[in-house]
Amino acid sequence: MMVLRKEMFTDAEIIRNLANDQESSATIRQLYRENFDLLSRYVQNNSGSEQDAEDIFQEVMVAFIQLLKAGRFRGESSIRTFLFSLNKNIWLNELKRRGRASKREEKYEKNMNREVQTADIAMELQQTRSELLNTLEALGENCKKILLLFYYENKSMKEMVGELPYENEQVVRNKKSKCLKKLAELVKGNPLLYDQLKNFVHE
Amino acid sequence: MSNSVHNEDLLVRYIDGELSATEKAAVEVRLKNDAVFREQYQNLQVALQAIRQLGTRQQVETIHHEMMQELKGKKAPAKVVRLSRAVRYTMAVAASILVLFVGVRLYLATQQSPDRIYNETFVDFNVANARSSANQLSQIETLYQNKDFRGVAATTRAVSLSAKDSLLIGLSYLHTEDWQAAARWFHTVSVTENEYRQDAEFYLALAYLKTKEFAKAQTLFQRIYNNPAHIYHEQVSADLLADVKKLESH
Repeated sequence: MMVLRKEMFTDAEIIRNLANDQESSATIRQLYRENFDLLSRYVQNNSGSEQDAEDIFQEVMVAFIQLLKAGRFRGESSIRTFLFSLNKNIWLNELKRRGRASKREEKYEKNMNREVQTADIAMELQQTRSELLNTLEALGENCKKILLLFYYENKSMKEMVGELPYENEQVVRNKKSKCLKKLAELVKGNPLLYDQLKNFVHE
Repeated sequence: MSNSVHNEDLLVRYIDGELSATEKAAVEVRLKNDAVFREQYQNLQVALQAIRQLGTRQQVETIHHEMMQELKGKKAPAKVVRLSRAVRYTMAVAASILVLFVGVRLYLATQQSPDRIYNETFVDFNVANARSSANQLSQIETLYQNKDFRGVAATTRAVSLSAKDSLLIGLSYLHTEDWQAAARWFHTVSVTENEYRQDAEFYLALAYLKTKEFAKAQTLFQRIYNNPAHIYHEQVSADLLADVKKLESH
């Protein structure tokens, strides 16, 4: 009856992959293929445009991965249900931000909260989003790149030398250390951002 | 101050896994006992979290563009669809105005008519938005998109039908006003676990209005109304429920 899909990750595998950064791109693609349709129709059925639906889905993916990495979602509900709820709350926050949420939608949101607790998470992530991007902007392009290469893409010092305008590993090492300390300083100067990021540090 | 810088360097090396076993153990003891040292460590952890969130964001952004091309490539004649949707809405508006002018008396007499409820509640299914997982539109999707509803109905003998195909067949029967057949197809889709189950429930409820099975329609509308996560939740108001209930008690 349904279209056959080969070699799909199960919910448990999706959680494991994204939490541990294994096959994460393939896993994210699968989440798009399986959920974009339903979630984008929700936004479009609730006064959102096609573009809104796409933007919100992208935010849902970012939020979901961050929650998994922080160990804040462990499969308490199905992934689909959880994403649906995140999508809804992120969209409702966006409507509120635009001052367009109707009474009905707010009532609806209250109902929603009884199902899966994602309203607070959605709010939290949206508040930090611009703060985070501004702070990293203040860090400068080179620093951002060094830190991303080392701490996100797990590149070795040797590989990094090839991608950066620095002569040798020692220079890159010193620069990386300086950049991380500078970033720590910047984040510390923004208590709201600091507290929210702290909630996502996996203990 | 220089002590603090020294501590930070030590912690960065600890985070990067560059310390010897002895040095590592010493840092861990200090983390337990020295609150200032612990706070410095936490500041670095929070900074790393900022970088990781940026990394996640960039990774998703790249995949997002790629996937939008893949998923939207499927609804190739997007412009045509948008146009036809506009036409459909215009027609709907025109039809409503016609109903308003022609049927004022009729309206008073049939305030709770199932036809009125049907017309007010019906929203057409957008094939283009409901992207299928196949790379191309199925034969049924293409026919439906071209409004060849009879053509769709004629395809029902095809061997393997996806849930979406079955839904579109039901919708085609709605368009050709074969309510019984529509209800049968929607029922099939609504009782199995698939992506279009909620669509099927909504349209099945509408079909039941036409087949005058009001109790069944009422049950389905109630279910959609009660479930805020239902994608047609917004289409089912308390007023609608009350109207259907009145039909049932007549």
